[in-house]
Amino acid sequence: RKKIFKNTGERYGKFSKDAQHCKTVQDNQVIANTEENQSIVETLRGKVREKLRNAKFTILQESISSLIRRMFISTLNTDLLLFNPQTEVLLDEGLSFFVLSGEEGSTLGQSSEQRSVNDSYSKCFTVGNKLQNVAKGQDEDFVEEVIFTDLFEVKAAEYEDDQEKQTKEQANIFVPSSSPVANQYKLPKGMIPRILEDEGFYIQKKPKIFKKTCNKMENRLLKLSKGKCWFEESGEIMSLPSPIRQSWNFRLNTNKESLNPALKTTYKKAIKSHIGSSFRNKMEGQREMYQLDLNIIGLQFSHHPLFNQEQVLCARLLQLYECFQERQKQNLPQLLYEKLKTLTNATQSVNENFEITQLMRKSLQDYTWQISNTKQLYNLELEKDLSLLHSVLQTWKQIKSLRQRQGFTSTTVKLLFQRMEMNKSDEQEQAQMSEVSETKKKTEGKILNFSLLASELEETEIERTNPITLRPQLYFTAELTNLSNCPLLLRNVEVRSIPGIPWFINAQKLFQWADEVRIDPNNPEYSELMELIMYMRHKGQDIPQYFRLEQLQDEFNFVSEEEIKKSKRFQLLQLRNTGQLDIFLLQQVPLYDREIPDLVFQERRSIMKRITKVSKFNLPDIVANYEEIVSSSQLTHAICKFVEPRRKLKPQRKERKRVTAQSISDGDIKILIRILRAYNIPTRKTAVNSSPGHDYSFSNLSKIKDNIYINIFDEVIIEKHTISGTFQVNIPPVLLGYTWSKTYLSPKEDCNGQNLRECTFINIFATIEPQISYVSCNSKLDKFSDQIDVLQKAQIFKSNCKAMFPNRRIITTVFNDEGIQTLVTRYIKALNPPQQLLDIFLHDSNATLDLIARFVSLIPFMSDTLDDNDGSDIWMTSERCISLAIGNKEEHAILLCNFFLYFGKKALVLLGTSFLEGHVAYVLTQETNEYLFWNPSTGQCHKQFDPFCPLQSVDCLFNDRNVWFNIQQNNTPMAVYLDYSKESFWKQLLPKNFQGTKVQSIQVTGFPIRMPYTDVQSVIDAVYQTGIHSSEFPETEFALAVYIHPYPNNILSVWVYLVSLSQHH
Amino acid sequence: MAEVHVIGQIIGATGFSESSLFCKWGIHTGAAWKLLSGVREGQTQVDTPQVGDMAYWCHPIDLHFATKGLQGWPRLHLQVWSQDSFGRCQLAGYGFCHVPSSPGTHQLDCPTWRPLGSWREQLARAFVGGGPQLLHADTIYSGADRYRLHTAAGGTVRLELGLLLRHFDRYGVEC
Repeated sequence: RKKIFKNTGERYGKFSKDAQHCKTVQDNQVIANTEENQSIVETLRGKVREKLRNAKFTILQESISSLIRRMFISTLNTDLLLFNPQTEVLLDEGLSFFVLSGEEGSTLGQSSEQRSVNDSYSKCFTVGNKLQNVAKGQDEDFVEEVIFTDLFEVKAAEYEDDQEKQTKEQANIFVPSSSPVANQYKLPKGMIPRILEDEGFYIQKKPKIFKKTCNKMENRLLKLSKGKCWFEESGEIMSLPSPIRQSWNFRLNTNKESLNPALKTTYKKAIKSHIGSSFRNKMEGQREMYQLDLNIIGLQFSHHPLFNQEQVLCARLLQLYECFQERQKQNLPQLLYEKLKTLTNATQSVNENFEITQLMRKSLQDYTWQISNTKQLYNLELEKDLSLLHSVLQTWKQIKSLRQRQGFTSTTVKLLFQRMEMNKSDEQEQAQMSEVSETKKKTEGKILNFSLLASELEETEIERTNPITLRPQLYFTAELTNLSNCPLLLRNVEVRSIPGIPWFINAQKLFQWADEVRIDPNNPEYSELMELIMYMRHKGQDIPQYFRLEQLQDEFNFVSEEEIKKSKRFQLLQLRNTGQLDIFLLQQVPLYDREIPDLVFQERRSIMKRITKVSKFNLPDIVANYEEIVSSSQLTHAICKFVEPRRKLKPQRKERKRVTAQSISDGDIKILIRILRAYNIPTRKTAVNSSPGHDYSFSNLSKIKDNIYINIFDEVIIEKHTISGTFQVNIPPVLLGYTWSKTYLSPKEDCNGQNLRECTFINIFATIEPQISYVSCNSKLDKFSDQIDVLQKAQIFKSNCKAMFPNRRIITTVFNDEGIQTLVTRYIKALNPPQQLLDIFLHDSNATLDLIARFVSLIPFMSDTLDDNDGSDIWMTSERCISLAIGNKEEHAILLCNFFLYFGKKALVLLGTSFLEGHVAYVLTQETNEYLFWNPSTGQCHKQFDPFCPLQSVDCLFNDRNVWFNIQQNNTPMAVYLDYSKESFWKQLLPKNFQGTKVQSIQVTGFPIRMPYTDVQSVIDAVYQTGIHSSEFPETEFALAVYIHPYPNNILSVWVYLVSLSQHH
Repeated sequence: MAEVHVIGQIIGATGFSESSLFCKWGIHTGAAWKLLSGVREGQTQVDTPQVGDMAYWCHPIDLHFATKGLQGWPRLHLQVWSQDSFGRCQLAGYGFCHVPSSPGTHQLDCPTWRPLGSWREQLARAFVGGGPQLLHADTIYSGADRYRLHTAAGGTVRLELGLLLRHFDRYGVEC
């Protein structure tokens, strides 16, 4: 049966093919045979029915009919609509084939299966062609069919209805619906869904899921026994946020922000650059960049989601108050009021004027229009003010009631009202202006300090029309309720409301704060804070206490900053780059530090130190006599300077400013030398234009490439700032090739015996720039060795003299070579000059004196190491000076003086100053009618009125008896009256009748002992027995001398001289 | 105490639409670096190529650095400017490149860019010259977020830099 079905299935296709085939080939035939076919079909049916009835297979009959019907419904319904006539034919054919194949199958059995198929195929193909034979064939088939009906069974195909199926399936299968589920099913009973996001929490974004899928899942979960545990409080399925992101790593959306300021561009016009101006300045923008440090002390929120009700009200109150103050400042009503006043005044004046012209009328109209306009504006402004005031009061009321209700105060705001009263005059004014405005307020007036709380507001409402206004005053003085008194719930709010927590100062506090406040870690506002907290917790205590711009720099440094700074090579290279390295400029800088000597830097450092030292001070610190133009005389002087002629014939000498020597560095001092004139310069004998040895013609001079050496020796302590005078130029005794001009005659030639012709003089003026102030220190001595009274007296004398003439020199006491202070007079004593000198000019005393002076000048000089001024000179005696063959200026002078004394001359040592040498000591000799100055350093002798004497001042004289100090007004050698016996001109140290001090002051006791020599002990005993050693005076000195005179036969005579020297006080 | 010598030249620029070009250059270093000798920045002459489009400057660079660390290795930043027939100067491109870190001679090609600006500015630039410039020139070598900046490519600056390193091996940097 199966096979048959299969075959018939195959047939379907063939039928349709055949049908088409038939249509084309046998169109004519078909049409022609239509009627015949119909009759055939009729007969066939009749026969079939008959046979079937006969076979009595009622069921079969039914099934066949249904089978036939069904078999062809699907296939033929479509095709046969067009070919109605053929339909019948095919139907029959199909039936016949069906029957036929069934018959064949049954007859031939399983073995001939293949053949039967083929047969049926062949039959099939023949169907169309042998349409005429169909009737005959059919008849045969029917016969066979009837015969085999009882051999097989035809069953209908098993089929179940879709709906039936569904209903059956629904019993076993659960399909969740995709409709949304109401919240009440998902949550426990009576629970309202809680949406955290609405409460201000920051909820992370969940992965996106389709709503339908979600609904299905929800529906499915709800069917489970404990399905509700899958839902969150919000009524959604529990789900994790997107796992790709860090849970707290939220960022605020930066898209809204403007472009990074560093990336801002500006449109620059194409500029033509000026010649010389460089673009390079703009290259590195850092030069013009300055850092602005802002210290934000606190933030005041106008609103914040964490504000409590009171704070919100407070913020509103503040805003209103600010607005009020702003309006108060503008004071528009007042302005408008003034305007109104002037306008009405103007109209009144116009009205009073009887002659109203056209123009006036026009302006009057304009006035009235303006008045009405201003009035409106005024009223409007007033209303605004009032409403503002009202809302301020309202808010304050609310705050007050809220505070009462909640039982605590969390803000410091306090509002007080001041009641203002108007002036009487204002009131009157207002009465006049009542037609302008009824509700006018004046803010001026006496302020009644009258604090009014908001609870008494009603009063103010009534007083609105009264000319009294209330001015709110905001204070932040309200006491906050202590935290412990607050309800527990609200404490957090309290902590949160603290605005500027300096959390960056103390990490511990920050943690504490974060814990207390329980800040939302998902809040993007806090994301940075959370990062910091995480970082700090992670790092523990290793947080550095400083802020570093280039972090992690230190960790990777090769060497420290100091080491790189210390590197000598680098220093040298940098110095060379800046051009400060003179010596090394063209040399190679050594590769290694060890090859560079320290010396290079030491010099530089000392100079740099000095420079930095100077630069640290202000001008008044450095300049000793810093003067600012303060007094009016100075001012006038300064102004007069502009007025006065550019150059005077006799310019006034101005005092220059002085600088201390300590503040001057190298190169600051200049020596200015001006040669004023020269006398008696020898001229060249021959007219040859070349000087001996050198050709000074231009052509030769231009070829000279020699270096010029200038040697300046600066050893002497500067006392004079200017040197000005005439000096004799040292000329060689014989000057070959030069002669003196014959015409020149020195005016002094005749009066002094010298031949001035052969002396050349030069007049120069030299000074140093800037002037250096000379620091003088006060000498103070506390130790006196002998003759304390005299020495004290000498000190007092010296200080007195210094007080009178601070610039004049005086030396009364010096230290001798043993370090004992002595009077200078002690050094003067006639001394025998060497005999050789005396023997040369036996008869010419003057020549001998010159020779002696020359001899003294040849003794080498030793410069004073110590400052002259501090009075601690050490002078050697003349004998010592000669034996050592060295001495300072004073010692030379003393020596010369002593020699002169030997000749019985009246000689004194003179202390003064010279143009050339500064402090000098000369020897003054008194001749019969004149005084002579002997310069011990050169051996030259000058008369008192010699204009070329380098001596500049005569300050002090001394000899073996006394010390004289010049108290005359003038101390230049020419002007000084040298007779030192006059007490009004010369101040004496010792009184005139003061006798030799040494004899009186020391008592000498002693005697010689003459005794025969027996042994040493007996001599010692003899000395002890004298008792000289047991002197009661302190500081007693002893002298002992022993002489042994030999006699024949070893007889010895012993002389012992014993002396004790004791001082008397 | 390592030392670096940067000796070389800015050879020239090519690929710019403008013809008369000059270049301002500068070297930026980190805090660890110390300039021992040489000048950090400079400006070349204006070169108008006669043959081809390459402008030759041959501007010498000679710098001597001492450093205490590798951070802030010298960066060369360039600004190529063009001068028009009226003698007006306008920006043609910004460029930046690191000084090479290995010793030897290096040929560097430094591409440049310039900010585009708004369409108005572009139009103005095309017709009347000038053009948008960075307000802060240090953006050229600093890594600010530049993603919002619209730029147009300029030409390329060619450099030749010789590097001499000293004492880097002493601190474990092998080169």
